[in-house]
Parts: sequence; structure tokens; C-alpha cells
Amino acid sequence: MKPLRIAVAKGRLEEKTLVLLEKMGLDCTGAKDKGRKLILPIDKGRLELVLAKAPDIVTYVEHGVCDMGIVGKDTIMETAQSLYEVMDLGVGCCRMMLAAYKDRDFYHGFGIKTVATKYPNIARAFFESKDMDVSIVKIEGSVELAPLLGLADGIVDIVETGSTLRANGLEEKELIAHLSARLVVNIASMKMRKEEIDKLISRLRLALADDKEGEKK
Amino acid sequence: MKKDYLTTPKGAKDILPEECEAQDWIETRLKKIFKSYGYGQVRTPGIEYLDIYAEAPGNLGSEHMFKLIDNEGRILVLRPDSTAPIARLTASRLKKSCKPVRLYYNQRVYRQKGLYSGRRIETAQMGVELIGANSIKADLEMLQMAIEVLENCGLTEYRIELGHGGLCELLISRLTAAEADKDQLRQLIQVKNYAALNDFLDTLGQGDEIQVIKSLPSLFGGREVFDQAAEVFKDQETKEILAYMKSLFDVLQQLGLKERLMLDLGFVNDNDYYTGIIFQAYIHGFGEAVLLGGRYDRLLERFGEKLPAIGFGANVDLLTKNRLDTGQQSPAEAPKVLVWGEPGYEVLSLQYAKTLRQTPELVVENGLFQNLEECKAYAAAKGIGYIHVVGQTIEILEAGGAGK
Repeated sequence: MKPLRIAVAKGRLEEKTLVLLEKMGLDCTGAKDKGRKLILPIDKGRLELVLAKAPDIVTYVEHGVCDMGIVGKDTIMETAQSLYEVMDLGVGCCRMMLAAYKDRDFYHGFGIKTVATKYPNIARAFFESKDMDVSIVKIEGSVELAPLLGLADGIVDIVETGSTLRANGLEEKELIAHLSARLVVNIASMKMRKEEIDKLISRLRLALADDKEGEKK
Repeated sequence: MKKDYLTTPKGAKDILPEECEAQDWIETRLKKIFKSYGYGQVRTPGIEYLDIYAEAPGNLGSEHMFKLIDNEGRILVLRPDSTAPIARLTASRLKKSCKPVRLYYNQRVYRQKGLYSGRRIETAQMGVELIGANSIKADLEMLQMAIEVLENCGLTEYRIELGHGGLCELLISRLTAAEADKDQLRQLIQVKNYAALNDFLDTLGQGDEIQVIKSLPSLFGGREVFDQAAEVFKDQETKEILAYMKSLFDVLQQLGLKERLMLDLGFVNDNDYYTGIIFQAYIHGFGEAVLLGGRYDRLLERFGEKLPAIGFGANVDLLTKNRLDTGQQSPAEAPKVLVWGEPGYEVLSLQYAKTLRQTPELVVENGLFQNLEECKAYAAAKGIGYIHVVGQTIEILEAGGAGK
């Protein structure tokens, strides 16, 4: 049987995931001195950790080349079409917000608003739910720049502490969604390898419950 | 001008001989099964009116279709699915025929896919529709055929998942919630997002219906699911659905499916298309179902005939790819001969080659070259075993190719 493949976002979430996997009692030595390798065998070769960029995790899991993935809710909302989102891991928490100039009413006036974002699909769905026509501009880097430069009236973006917003005269206007890391599973893998995946999920659940206990103490 | 004429449109592709052979192999097998069950083949137009797809199953919204406008301004689509056209033709040209009607199809469907998504816009599908029958016997016929399709394609490690298209909707319809909330619910059940589903349901109240819906995504697995479900399904209507599913499940077990059969009661039915059982088959190495089917008792009504129906479609492209990936399709190994006529013996050479082709399985190519040396080089490159040189006598040369 091929090892189960779990795709994990490189960087910040990668460390948190490793901690979690070790708490589950999985042997993660293979993932520690990884060098430049991108596919890392763990748990004595029963699992494979695949290091990828967040939006690619959704792609790999949807195509079934990775069975599972750990990825932020923002990426799922923006790109996912068909996968199972089975668990909220409660790590990497932040918010998807509409932000705009401080002391100004974003909704004021009749003009069509321009919104800059890295998440055009999320922004579109949000304004559609308000029956509002907006013009959405996709930005790749610091989205806060767009209103400062006069391109946009507001932004839709991830906010963790809000300090970048404040430093640039912007403020949070409306909450779009609470975000955190989620466990996603390919639909066919869920059927073909249900027993293994179920086992992993329940171990993960236990590890997370332990974590919460620990925090209370 | 940009040279667009050397490539195929994004998401489309040419299929070369080896892959064609593998696809033919699959098609021949499926055709044989369908015919042996008494199904007759139909071909529907590649272009249909958009209107016939007004109530299509999930993922088939008009935004996923390729559209054209005819000379009267009506919207046409490249066939995105074969079931609706077959329902249309059954309700029109086959209106008076004896029921049930058993039809099969082998044709391509076209759907728009995201740019650079790595998905194909053109898919070869083969499937069956059993129209005018609504009983456990009809459902079992479909499932038995589906199993036969998988096993005849050399698949042993497949899984078939059984669900019900009406169950989820029935439970949701009993809730007194806003339509937007219900949509949200469907979405959460579909992606098996247990945690979010629980939280969201808690905001909607506490009743029995809520508890049942909470359990839906976890009602997924083997036979034990029936016991879990029995604890939460209390009313007559859902109990009946469950009892029906259980009897189907048991018969399928008797047919030898064992652990390859699974149950998922948390299936969400887009657009209310499926009215009864639904089933999907999965195999290793593919992230999506290779076969998908279900009961759609309301579709024919759209075309003016109240007829129950059930059908399934197999994704021939995926089955073909599996055959190629697992090395089951060996390259054509038919023995090959090149027949070359010496100058002045061209007609005799043609006649000789024709006679030689009577030999079963033998492939006989005409040597089109000016001289024997070119023939030899060609034969070696193409793996042709022998060259028959037609002159005053017929001389057989070993060509050194593999296909002897």
C-alpha cells in the first residue's frame, strides 16, 4: 500500500503541523533534517509529508495526488471546488476582513466601489451576498497599498493583529470569515482509504483535545 | 500571426494509436456488457438547445457549458451530458415504445474547466439509462451492471459508494430556516465539515430534525452505518428510505461486493436532480469517481412524460488511463509484414498483399519505396519482422524488426 500523502503549507504552518504530528505519536525524524527535499517520509514510511504552497495544496488534493492537506480556510474559500473539509485544527487563527479608510463610511455614496484583494473570489461572494456591485482588482503583494495609492476604496484581506492597517490609516470595517488551518481530504481517498484516514483523524482529534487541556492548565 | 494551428485548445487533446487501442478495448468490453443486458445504442447530437439542460445535476450549471447561437438567435450548447438528450428522445420519438426502455450511449461530453486547472474539457463517456422502471429490481440491474463494468475492465480494488439523493433534502426541507441558511447547510454536509455543521445547526435550534442532520456527514462507512442511522432516524419516511437502502446493501453483499461496498448518507443533491439511490465508483490513483449514477424520477416530466428512470455513466478516459498506467495495454504486437514489388511487379504485389491479409491477425503493409534498401530501413524502424519481395518469385527476407 502506498503511504498516505499529506500536503502541508511551507513555513509558519509547517512547524505547527510537525508539532501536532509528533503529539499524535508519529515519528517525524524524517521531516526534521529534510535539506531541500519536498516529499518527506514520516511515521516509518507510512505517511508522506508534501511541502507545498497553500493554493497548490488545494490543487494537489483535488486532483488526488495528495490524499490530505492542511491548509488555511482562506485558501479553501478562494480556490477549493470539491474536497472534504473534515476538521478545524484551531491553529493559525485570523480573520478575513473588509477594511477601508478610518473615519470614512465605506458604503457611503452611490458610486461603484473598487475593492483590492488577493482573494477575488471571496470578495466577489461577499459583495454578492449583499447584492452589491463592486469592481474588484486583484493585487499580489501588500493590498493596503491600493487604497493608499488611490486605486481602491477598500480591501478584502487577512487580518491577524491589524497593526499594518492602523499604521496606514485603515481600519477593519466588517468581518467576512474567521480563518484557521483545516484538514482537507480528497473525495476519492476518503472512500478508498477510509480506515487509515479515520484513524489519523481520530488521533489528530485526541492530540488537539490534549492541547486544549494543556492550555487550560 | 500566432501559430494557433499547431496546438489543440486548452483542455482538449489528440488521441494517438496506442491510447486509441486502450480506449477501444474499454469500449468494446462495455458495449458487450450493455448489449448483453438488452440495451440498444443511441447517438444524440453533439449540439443541443440549452433549454434541455435546465434541470441538470450538480456542476452542470450553464456557466460550465460551451455555447453557440443558431441563426434564429437560440442558444445551443455542446453536449455537456448525455442523460438529458436521452430523456428528451425517450419522451418524444420513443414515446409509444414498450417500457422499460433500455438505452446505452458511447459519446463525448464537453464542459468548461478553469484555465490551467489541468482538467479536460472533453470526456469520453459510456453509460446506460433504464427508463420506465422504478423498483428494487431496476436499481439492482444498474448496480449489477456497474460492477460488471468495473470487473470487466480488470479492476479488483474498486469501491462503490451507495447513497440516497432524496434523504438529505427531505431532512433539510423539514427545517424552518431561511433558504440561504439551508444552502449553507447543504454545503457543510457536502464537504463533511462536521465542526462547522454542528456550530451552524446550534444556531438554528435544538429539535430532533437538527440532531438527525448533525449526524449526516458521519453516516458514512460500511454496514455499521445502518445501526448508527437507526438510532437517529425516527420517523416513518426516513425509516423507509433506510430500510430500502439496507435491503439493496444486503443484496449487493450477496453479489460479492463485501468491503468494496460503502454507504454515504450525507450525499447532497444539487438541484434536486436525483430522487432515489445514487452510486459512485472509485479506484486507486484517481481523485474522482470513475463511474457515477443514480435514480432521476423527475427528469422525464420536464419533457412531458411521467417516467421513472435510473442510469449511470462511466468515465472512459479515466478507465483508459488506468489501463495504460497499470501497463495492461501492451503495444500492438500483431505480426507485421511488408510487401514490396520489384519494378514491373507492382500489380502482382498488390494482389499478393491482399491475399496475405486473409491470414488472421496478420498486418500487411505495402512497401511504397523505390528500392529494397529503403524498405529494409523502414521495416527496422517500424518493427516489421519480414519483407516479402514480389518479383518473378517471392522472396521472404528477415527484416530484423520485432514483430515476427
